[in-house]
Amino acid sequence: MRLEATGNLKKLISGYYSDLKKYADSGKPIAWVNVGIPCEIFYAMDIFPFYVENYGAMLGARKEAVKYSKFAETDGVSKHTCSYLRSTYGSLLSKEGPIGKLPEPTILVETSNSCVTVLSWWRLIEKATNVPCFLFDSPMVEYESSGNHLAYQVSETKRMIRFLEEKTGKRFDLNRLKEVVKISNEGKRLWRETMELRTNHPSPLTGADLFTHMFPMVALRGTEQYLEHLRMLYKETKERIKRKEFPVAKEKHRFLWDNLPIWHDLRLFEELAKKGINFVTDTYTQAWGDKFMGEVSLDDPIKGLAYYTGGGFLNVHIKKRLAVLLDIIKLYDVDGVVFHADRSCKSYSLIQVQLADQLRQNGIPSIIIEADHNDTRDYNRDSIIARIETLSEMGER
Amino acid sequence: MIDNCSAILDEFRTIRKTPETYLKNIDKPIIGYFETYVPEEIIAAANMHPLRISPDNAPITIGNSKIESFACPVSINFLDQLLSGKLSFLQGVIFSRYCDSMRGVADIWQENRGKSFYHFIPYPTIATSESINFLSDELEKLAEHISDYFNTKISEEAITEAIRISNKKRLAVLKFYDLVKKGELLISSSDFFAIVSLATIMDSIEYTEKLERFIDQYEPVSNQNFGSNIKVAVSGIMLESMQFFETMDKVGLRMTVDDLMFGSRAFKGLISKEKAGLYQAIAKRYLNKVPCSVKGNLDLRIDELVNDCRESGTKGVIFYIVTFCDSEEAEYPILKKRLLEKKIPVIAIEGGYRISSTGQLLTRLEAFAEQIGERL
Repeated sequence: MRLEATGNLKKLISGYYSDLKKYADSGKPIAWVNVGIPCEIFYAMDIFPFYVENYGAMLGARKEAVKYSKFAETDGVSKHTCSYLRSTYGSLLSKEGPIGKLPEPTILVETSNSCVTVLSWWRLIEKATNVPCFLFDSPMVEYESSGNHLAYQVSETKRMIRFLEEKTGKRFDLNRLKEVVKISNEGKRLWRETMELRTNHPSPLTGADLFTHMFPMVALRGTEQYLEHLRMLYKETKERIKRKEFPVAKEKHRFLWDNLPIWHDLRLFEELAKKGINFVTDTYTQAWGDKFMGEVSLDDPIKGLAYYTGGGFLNVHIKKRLAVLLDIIKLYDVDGVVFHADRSCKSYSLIQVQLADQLRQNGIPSIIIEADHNDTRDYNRDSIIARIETLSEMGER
Repeated sequence: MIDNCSAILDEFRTIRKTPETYLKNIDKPIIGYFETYVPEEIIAAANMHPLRISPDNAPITIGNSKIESFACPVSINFLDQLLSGKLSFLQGVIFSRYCDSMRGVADIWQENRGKSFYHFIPYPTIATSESINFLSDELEKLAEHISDYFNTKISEEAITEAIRISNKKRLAVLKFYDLVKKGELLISSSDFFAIVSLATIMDSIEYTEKLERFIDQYEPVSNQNFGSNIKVAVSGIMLESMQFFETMDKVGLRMTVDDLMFGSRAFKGLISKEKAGLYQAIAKRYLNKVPCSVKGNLDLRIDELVNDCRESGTKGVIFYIVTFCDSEEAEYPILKKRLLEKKIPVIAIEGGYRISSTGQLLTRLEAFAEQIGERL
């Protein structure tokens, strides 16, 4: 069952890449950034934030990741490294890709709040593009950024703004940032409320839906088109409930997915939906709403954005990860958890055995499947389906 | 009292072979750590023995059932040692966010440690005045945690003394490196590794004293013609396999420079007095030291390596990559290009925490020795 909003999403994505080219053609600044970076600041300063992971996800979804990874592998990057890194770096080296040659960056901005691999990834890009690079330092925290950690994140945000001003000539305007953050907040609220519509039995959306629609949450936060899209998505999801139109009308199982999706096989969710298995929530798309971090205060948006950067979902320890899982398992009435052990995301994956053990101790059936979010080599779909079916045999609704 | 150079060397070799025997005689509580960003000075100031945990040579028993197989094998080994009880002689462990695999180990251990001491240092990646302030605060919290947990006091005097002892050790190790680099001290790769690796295992005062005496009394061993061996550098993060260095010896590759986490990178840079205080001084040193690839500043590391290679006249670099180490696997092409630009040949050898096939290693090192030997 296709969402009407998906048509709009395609327009958003193509508009984003078209804007990227327009910025390049007109000599306006382009920053290649990673997902932990607050795009609100970039939009407020009219600097185009090109999210490299998003581009990687696009390569994955189009099943082109391996094609470009091979360029990186030929350059000497090991096949064991993150497939986002390999596919995007390979696309850069090859000067090819779904949008043609990638427009060159004016600057690079990275943050350590998701993984250490980003640092190596940006070193490769830095060497290949030879443009100034800024590292937003974000040490890990137990639960959330507070005290001296939050003060440090605020100082890093300000240091980043100074870097942006210096390297692009663009001026930072706090009032403009407040306008952008206001839109961003509204969108995060709508995203959460759309997610929470999935608490309905049956859920109005499948597991694939929000993974597909998370693009604006990452790359367009604070823009008008982002807000427009989220309103559309929310409205359509709500109408589905009203009209009793559900993609999995008889939900035998309501499962939770942990980690990135397998971008090259989002149809896996459709396949499982045919068997009455619906993924009604996940930890990845939750990270983009405001459920766990609240809204960014308009009184002090720099502090609010710093709080988000510092306490990002992959920058916290296991106790917070477990707390988030238990919270959404209860809220969404989940009866089984599938941990996607993603070979290309160690920071997300390497505590999943422990988390699964602890969930089982809490009486929540959990399994681990192994795959790679972008690399199709060594992918064993049948085995994954069989394992998820085994989880479903633990009990039907 | 051992006062003969070869006797000291024999003692170093023995301790390296069976560190557990040596550690049994340590009469202080022992705190473990796994990587070179945890400041030993704070542990020592609590009158405890800071012990760098090395991967052991044993097969994994339980570690791989608690973490995914694509974690780096060194981290799986560490987890195995923790979960299997091999490290139960420790009073506790300290982690920082070193890499994505080790953060996994830290979290898993946090949930399985029972009541043993555990501390995770939120660690900055860069060296700025703000990051130094931040780390300084975090190191003070570490000291408070140790004090509270073990009901002990960490005084300023104790930290000052611990800094003095660690600095003295660093100077001794750096002098040793310098002599080897200049060819004034000829030593096999395996002995070089044994001596350096013990600096973070043995008691610092005892180690420094022994190393200083070894250096003072050093005379080349007449029956080993090291001068004709091929000088090489070994780069990487974690390489703790004695077999590896013994294989280098076999094929005539002599390590005169290293760029390993617990090699030269652990000792370069002393702690200087800071008006802002002792924790600031410690933080400044650790954030400014030659970084590992996990910290992002690869240029500084490569510059150091290239300089060391030049000064030592090394003929090539052996780059040891631990499988599934994203940072090293991704940055190898950069390192390789930079070294080749400087006309320094490099070979990458990938492996685990121990050498699974010495035959294969021997063949590759022989081929490398032949290749760079011809350039002599």
